Amino acid sequence: MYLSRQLRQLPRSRLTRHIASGNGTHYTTAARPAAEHIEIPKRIERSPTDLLQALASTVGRDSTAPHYKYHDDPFLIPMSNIAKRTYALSKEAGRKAANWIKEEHRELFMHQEAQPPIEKFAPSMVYTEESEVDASSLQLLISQGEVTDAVLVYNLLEQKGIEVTDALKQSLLELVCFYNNQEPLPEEYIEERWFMQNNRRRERHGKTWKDGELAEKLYAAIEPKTPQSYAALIRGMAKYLQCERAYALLQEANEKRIQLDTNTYNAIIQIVSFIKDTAELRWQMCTSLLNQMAEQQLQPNLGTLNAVLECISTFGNFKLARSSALKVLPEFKQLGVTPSLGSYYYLLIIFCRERAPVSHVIIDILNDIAGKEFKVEHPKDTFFFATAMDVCRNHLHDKALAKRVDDLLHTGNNYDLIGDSFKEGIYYRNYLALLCQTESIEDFMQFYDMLVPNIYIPEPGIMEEILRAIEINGAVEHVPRIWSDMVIFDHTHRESLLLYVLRIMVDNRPNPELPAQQQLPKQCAKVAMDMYNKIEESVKRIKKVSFTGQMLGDILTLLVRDNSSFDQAVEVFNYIDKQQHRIPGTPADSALFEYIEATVLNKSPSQALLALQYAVENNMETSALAKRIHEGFTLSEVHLAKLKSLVGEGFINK
Amino acid sequence: MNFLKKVTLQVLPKAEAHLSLGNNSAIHTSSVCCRVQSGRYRITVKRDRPLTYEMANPPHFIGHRKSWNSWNTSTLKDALRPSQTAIEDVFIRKFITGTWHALVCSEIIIKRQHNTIRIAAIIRQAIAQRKMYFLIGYTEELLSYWMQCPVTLEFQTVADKKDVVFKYI
Amino acid sequence: MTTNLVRLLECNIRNSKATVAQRTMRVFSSQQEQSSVEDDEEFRVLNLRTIKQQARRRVIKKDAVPPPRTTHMPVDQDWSAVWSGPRSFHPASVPLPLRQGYTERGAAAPSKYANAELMKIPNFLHLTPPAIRQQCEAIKKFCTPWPKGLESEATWKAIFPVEVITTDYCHSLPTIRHPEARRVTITLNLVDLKFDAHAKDKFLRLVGERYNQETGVLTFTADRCPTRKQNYDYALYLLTACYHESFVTEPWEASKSEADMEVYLFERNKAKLSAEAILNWNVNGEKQAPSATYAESVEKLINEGENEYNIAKYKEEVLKMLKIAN
Repeated sequence: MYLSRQLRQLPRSRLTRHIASGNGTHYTTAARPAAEHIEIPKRIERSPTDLLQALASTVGRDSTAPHYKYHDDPFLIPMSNIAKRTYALSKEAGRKAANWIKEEHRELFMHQEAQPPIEKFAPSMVYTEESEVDASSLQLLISQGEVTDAVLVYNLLEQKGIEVTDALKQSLLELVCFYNNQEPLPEEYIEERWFMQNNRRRERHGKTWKDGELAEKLYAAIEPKTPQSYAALIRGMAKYLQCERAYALLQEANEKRIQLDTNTYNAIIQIVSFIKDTAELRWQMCTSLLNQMAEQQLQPNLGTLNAVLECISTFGNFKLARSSALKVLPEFKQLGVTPSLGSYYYLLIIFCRERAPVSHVIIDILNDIAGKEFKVEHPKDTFFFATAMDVCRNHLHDKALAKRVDDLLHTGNNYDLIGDSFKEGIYYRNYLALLCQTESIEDFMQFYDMLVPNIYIPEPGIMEEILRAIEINGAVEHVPRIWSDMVIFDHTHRESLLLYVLRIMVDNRPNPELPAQQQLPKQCAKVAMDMYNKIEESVKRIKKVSFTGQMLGDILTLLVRDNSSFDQAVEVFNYIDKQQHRIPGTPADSALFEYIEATVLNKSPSQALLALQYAVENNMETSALAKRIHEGFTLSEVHLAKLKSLVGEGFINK
Repeated sequence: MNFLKKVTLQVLPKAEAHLSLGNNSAIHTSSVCCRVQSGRYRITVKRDRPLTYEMANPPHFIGHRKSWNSWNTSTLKDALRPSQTAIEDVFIRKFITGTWHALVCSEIIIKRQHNTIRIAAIIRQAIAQRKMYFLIGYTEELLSYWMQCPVTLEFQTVADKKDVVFKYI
Repeated sequence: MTTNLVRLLECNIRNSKATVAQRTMRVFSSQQEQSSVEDDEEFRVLNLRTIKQQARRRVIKKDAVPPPRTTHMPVDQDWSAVWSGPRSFHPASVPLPLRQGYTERGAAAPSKYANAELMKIPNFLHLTPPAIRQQCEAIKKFCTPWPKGLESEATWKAIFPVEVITTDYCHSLPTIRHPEARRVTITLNLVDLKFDAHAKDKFLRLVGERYNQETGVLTFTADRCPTRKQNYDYALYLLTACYHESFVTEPWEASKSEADMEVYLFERNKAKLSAEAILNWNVNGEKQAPSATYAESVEKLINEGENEYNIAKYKEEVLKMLKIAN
């Protein structure tokens, strides 16, 4: 129910007119005091999704939950990078399978339930050689971006001799040039894009333009040549790296005095580095192209700026690169071109190079753009964050800067510009590595809790960095947590990591006086036992880890430090003893000594003697051990005899 | 059978009147099928038939001890598409029990809100996660093509079938 | 065997003490003997029928399922981020020790894990008071302030006399349409329209049942057009047309005879003439008219029927008119 505004006039003005002509008396008495004027505010205009977006903005990121594309169930939450990829792609594969069924059995999906109808739920139109087509269907296909169907329909039209207008040919040419006459990946398969980008980057170099194919035929069919047809073909060739011909076409157009547009020039500037070899030549060509644009009175735009910067970023000579970048920037600023994140990305790779002096350009950039919200304007915009974090870590090693970059990333919808899984991985790898080197361990663990595992899962290399930070800080209390993460992330087959974990726990003997560390011996023993079991299991697996004496010694030490796990210690020691021919190296002397200490505590002289025997067999320092055994136990005759047979009579007299 | 007598006595004259008027409708005179059997389970000799909570409570407890498996507005008075919705729900149930073969341990709960359909169930952790994800994607997409509504699966997984067993009879 | 031998050799090489080496050898040889004896005890079995060896089922080692994420939820977390929209209950995501289900006396209700009942019941975990507050705050920017001077219901009823009632249907179907949604109802109080006597009479005749005598409310309902907009326009048209039409006096309205009258009017009737005749009997010159109170009492008596009060009133008026003392 609502009150209608326009009805207010109805009893007053319209009815007054009528009643005034008749008997006006009773109307005047009923007339309202007109003094109060009610102002009804205008409705605030909003788009259909504005309310939803406002509501969505109240929802924060839950660090304990996986990304919403995964199923929120402990069993189904991915716990490693591989799992993340596999699960997301599996789900998408399932969707593809369903789509295939829909297309294959289209007759079953012809019903119409939804009102208003949802186009995507219905099977798509199929065009075959027999289809009845006309120019309008071609127009529709072009507007939908269906490359193969559009080409098919165009060929059909040609066969049937139906005239296709030049405008339609032009738009088909643009479509074909944009996609290089290849069906692009359908838009709805986002996961595939998210996880695929890094493979595609490798095949980026080299020409993929299809010479002499449909695009060029279409171009030939358009007579007389228009600036648009030139532009479409040049841009297509430039995009698919048919550089020489694109440039030749540009020159041809210039000779014919055909007015091209800015974006076409941008495309050519982008491929300057493929046409010319040295930095000087490239710069020269760049400037000449820009001059041509000026002659033709073309207003440069963001694309021009980014193309020029891209060209500059390919200069091997960093001095020339820096100076020319500095020349370009103010000029574009004067022209009123606001740089996008992509431009800043190019600046970063121009200024912050490995074999160049340190540059603090990122500080200026951040001063400029901190707190701003960005929209994607250029394909390279998504490269900024990963690169900026890389610069923060590897170039400047600055924690504060990294945090500023992170703040920028979480401003507004800037997270949309993180790129793909690969770049997100790089970003967080650098961020976490930098934090673990610079932050105090407590603060770092807070970040760790927030990011791991749902946003980012550390690779083994980063895990090592984290362990190093823990070692430096002696923060052994975090080891159990890290270990459980390592188990989940499947890092347990990395021998170096295992050794590292053990070393930290052995070297930092927990202090039972501190209340915080009272549980630690037990936890460490648990970790050690867990590790022992994992390694034993791994024999059956493909990724094997083999025991070393050192490793087992450490495990043994940790087990005996916890009073309640002596039985397990005995088990481990027996394993050492039995398998000594397989295990390279021996446990450290201290490990054996601690073990014998523990046997004394637990009153099991036979175990102590076994340990001693092992020490003797493996040529280790035995006198201290023997002495400890002799002092610690009141040995029976048999044991004494054994002791003597192992180390000789000598030590008792000492 | 007393019940039947009463009914026939009351209804027969009326029915005859109808017949005499040439009306085709007739009274159903075969034996009364009022034995209530659906949704009830027989006790086994060994007392080893596992029942879930849902199965342990016969249908007359719906709304008291257990709630409905389908939630939608079609069952309200004067609502649209009641029959289509019911048949679609049956289709969804059959589709999911078939697609998630031998994995579904509970009833399939279908909740509809506006044009979205949320399907909840308890699933056994018997296949690899990636296979489950494939099935999730497949089920969601195919059902939404069929119903022409966005479909969301909200599964809970359990390690063992026994987790959902409420009692043995 | 080979490994044992290797081990022996290794020991030999490693250990310079001959005695120890001998000892180990001894130990080993005894072990070997034992095992060989055990081997001898088992006879080889001749398989006459080749029994198909059952393919051993490979035991697939499952990775451990991580603990529910409720275990590492901080106590001060932002709940609206965890449960942002309507969703079926999931025990691993809700850190509450819930139980639901009927059990026999004494037994605890089934826990939240693998509890289908909890998944069935629609929950409002996404509509916690803080979440509602946040959402209200977020959509406030689309709201306009309440207009000044319209604070009380009486005011806005006076300024906006017409109410338009439409119904939107939210149902759980693939369609957003509902046939009833096109229905438009317009209501207003008759007192808000200004009439003269003829117009009012005619208007009420025109609207017929759309006017409720008891409440004085006019109701126009339109559902004959396919869309709401059309129905709204039609209802308004109906109101306007009826109103304007009621002021028109058609020529045939003059031919309304006494038999067509719906109420008794003293002015138009024989009673007036008779009363005048009685009053002006044998009077020349100025004629006397019956008093207004008398006219009223006669109308009442005939329109409302004969009851004690009306008759008494009539008697009183007659006596007064005829100047008879009682």
